[in-house]
Amino acid sequence: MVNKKSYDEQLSTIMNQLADSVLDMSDEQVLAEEREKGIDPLKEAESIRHVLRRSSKMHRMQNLQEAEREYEERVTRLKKSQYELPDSSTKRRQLLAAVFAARPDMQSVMLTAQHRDFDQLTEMDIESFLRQLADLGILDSFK
Amino acid sequence: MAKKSTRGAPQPEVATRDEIDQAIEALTPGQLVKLKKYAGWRIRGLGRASLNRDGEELLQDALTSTIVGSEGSGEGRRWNKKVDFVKHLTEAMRSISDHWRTQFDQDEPYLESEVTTINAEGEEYSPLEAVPSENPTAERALLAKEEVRQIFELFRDDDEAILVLQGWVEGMSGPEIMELGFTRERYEATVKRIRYAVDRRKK
Repeated sequence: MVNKKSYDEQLSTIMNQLADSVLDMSDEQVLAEEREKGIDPLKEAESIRHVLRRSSKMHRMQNLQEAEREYEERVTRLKKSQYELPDSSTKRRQLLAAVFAARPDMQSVMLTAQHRDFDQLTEMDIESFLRQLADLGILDSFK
Repeated sequence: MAKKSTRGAPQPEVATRDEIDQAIEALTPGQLVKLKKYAGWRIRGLGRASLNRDGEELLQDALTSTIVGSEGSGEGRRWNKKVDFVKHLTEAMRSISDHWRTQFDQDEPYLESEVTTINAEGEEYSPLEAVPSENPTAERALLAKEEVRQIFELFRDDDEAILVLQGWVEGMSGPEIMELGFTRERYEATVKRIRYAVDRRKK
């Protein structure tokens, strides 16, 4: 009895063999075959290159958009979060100094990333750092 | 004490994102057309399992997967630069299209003939008798049967083409078919005739 499914496999085998046969051809043979069919192979080739370039570009754009979205989400989260930071700038600076003294690892990550010394930090830098530390839950033990 | 050699198999040199872009620019017209044709035949080999995807989509998927592979996330397909880029992409297309087929086969219901059993009285019994008569798998098999028949019909008067086609469906490779009495030139000329005729038939 003939297996019905085998026809599907037979068809697949024929097409896959034809696919493999293309790989055995030289570039010149491939181009010549297209010309024989009335196709301009150079135009065709450039349209395929365009498809590949577009795919590559789209993937790059997707990565950028994803990074941008993550950044936006983080900024929004930081803005929305309510942290009880000290009222005065002196106290905020003292708090950050205390955190850095207790967590030198955080100091090295935050300051090295900005290539800055602690003394050079502006009021905005200090507030931003404190918000980020609060967001990580590090300030909880300094209350 | 002599140290054990830590040298194992050669490590693949995985291409970076920029190197992939450079490889795209370096592809020759012949290689680009070859990729397109290869993708097209692989899609035709899928039949209904292609789910209306085309060769361009298969090629794009192969490239995207290669780009993802360059990002070091452990996903995608890494292009080892020691391997020719065209070979890498065709292998990726082969693997992706095989995966699409497997996925499609798993999603499709079984053929009635595959689940028919004999009951205690010695009678054939099919659990599918209780379900609606629509059977997409059987339809797919019938369509494939008709297409195979039509392809063989194209070469009614071409014994060499029939021999090559029969060899293929029986799982023979090109060199094995050549052993049946073909020179390489005759085999290649026959394959070219098959490629032309089957290609024309789809249009």
